[in-house]
Amino acid sequence: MVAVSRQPEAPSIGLLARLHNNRNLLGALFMLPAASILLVFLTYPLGLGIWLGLTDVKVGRPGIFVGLENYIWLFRDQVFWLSVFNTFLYTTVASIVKFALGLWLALLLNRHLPFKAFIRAIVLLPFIVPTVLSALAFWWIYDSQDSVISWILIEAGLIDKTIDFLGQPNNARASVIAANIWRGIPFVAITLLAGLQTIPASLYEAATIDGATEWQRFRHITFPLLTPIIAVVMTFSVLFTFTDFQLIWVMTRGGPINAIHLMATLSYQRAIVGGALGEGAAIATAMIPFLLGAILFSYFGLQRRRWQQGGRDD
Amino acid sequence: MTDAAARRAGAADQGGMGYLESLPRKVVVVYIPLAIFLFVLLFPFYWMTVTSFKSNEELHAYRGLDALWIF
Repeated sequence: MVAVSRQPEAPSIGLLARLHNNRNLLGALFMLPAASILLVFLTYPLGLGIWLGLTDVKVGRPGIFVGLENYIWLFRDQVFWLSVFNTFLYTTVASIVKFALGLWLALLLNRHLPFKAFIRAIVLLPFIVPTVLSALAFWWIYDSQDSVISWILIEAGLIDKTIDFLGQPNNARASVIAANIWRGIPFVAITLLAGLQTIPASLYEAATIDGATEWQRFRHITFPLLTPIIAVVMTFSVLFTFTDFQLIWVMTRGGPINAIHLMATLSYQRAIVGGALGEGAAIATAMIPFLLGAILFSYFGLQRRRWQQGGRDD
Repeated sequence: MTDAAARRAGAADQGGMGYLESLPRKVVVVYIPLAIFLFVLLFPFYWMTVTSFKSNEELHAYRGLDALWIF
């Protein structure tokens, strides 16, 4: 009966007014600016990259669709597989060491220190400085003739000739990983420090009264409460390290005879320096599955949502 | 309570459980690792600064440990 009595009013409301009150339409309208920015600046370049990877386009010549030929070509390419190996080595070693040292530094900075604010500020320096500049600094520090490290070790009598930091593949890998760790520690440390500051001191006091050792306090208070921040930091750290380009490119351009190329630098070399845009785009596209895997792992593996919402932690 | 005593009490409060740690232990556990961290993180900047003041000949002149601070 109620519905019937309302019916006569409906036709008197105009189409425009009804649209005006339509929540779905208004919602779509309000999302339009954000959606268009995402479409134009994220989806379009990504889609174009994937499309280029399926063509044989070269600089100055429009390509034709060649299907998966670029990928088949890369599959048989030793340098590509070497770059995949290097990328994984680089990401794994650098991320783990960055996390361990960054957590340690964060725990140190979380204490009551003289000049606390000043120390926290200068620790950030490696992260603030543009990567290209710190890469140049490390280039000079790793110089094969005039390296300050070799020189100090020689003066100390530990070695008798200079170390060829960037000339040997394994030395070069270790050197660029060390430079990446140097650059990444402040980011991890300062972000984890922000997480440490949110842990109430009363928890530690209660645990100390109960006789908990320092390790037990870390293991059962600090670490569980820090897990959400660790998940975020490690996601960013892994993504930034996996897609790193500047350090390698400035220091070795892919290293002695392509030996320490990462996927990003190899893609740039093939596409921009070599002119084979299609092949470079295919290499870049090949990074996407690995990145998605890393994101999914840290999202579902590290971020223990149930526990954060008061549920049981399994 | 005098001002100084109040300030001391305030400082002790800020330290939380800090009073439980002895100074030698704090030096080994906190100050030495922190000093190493700061040295490693800041050395490249120092080295760049020192290098920027050197002439081309001085870049290669490594005799003794002087080049670390002489420019």
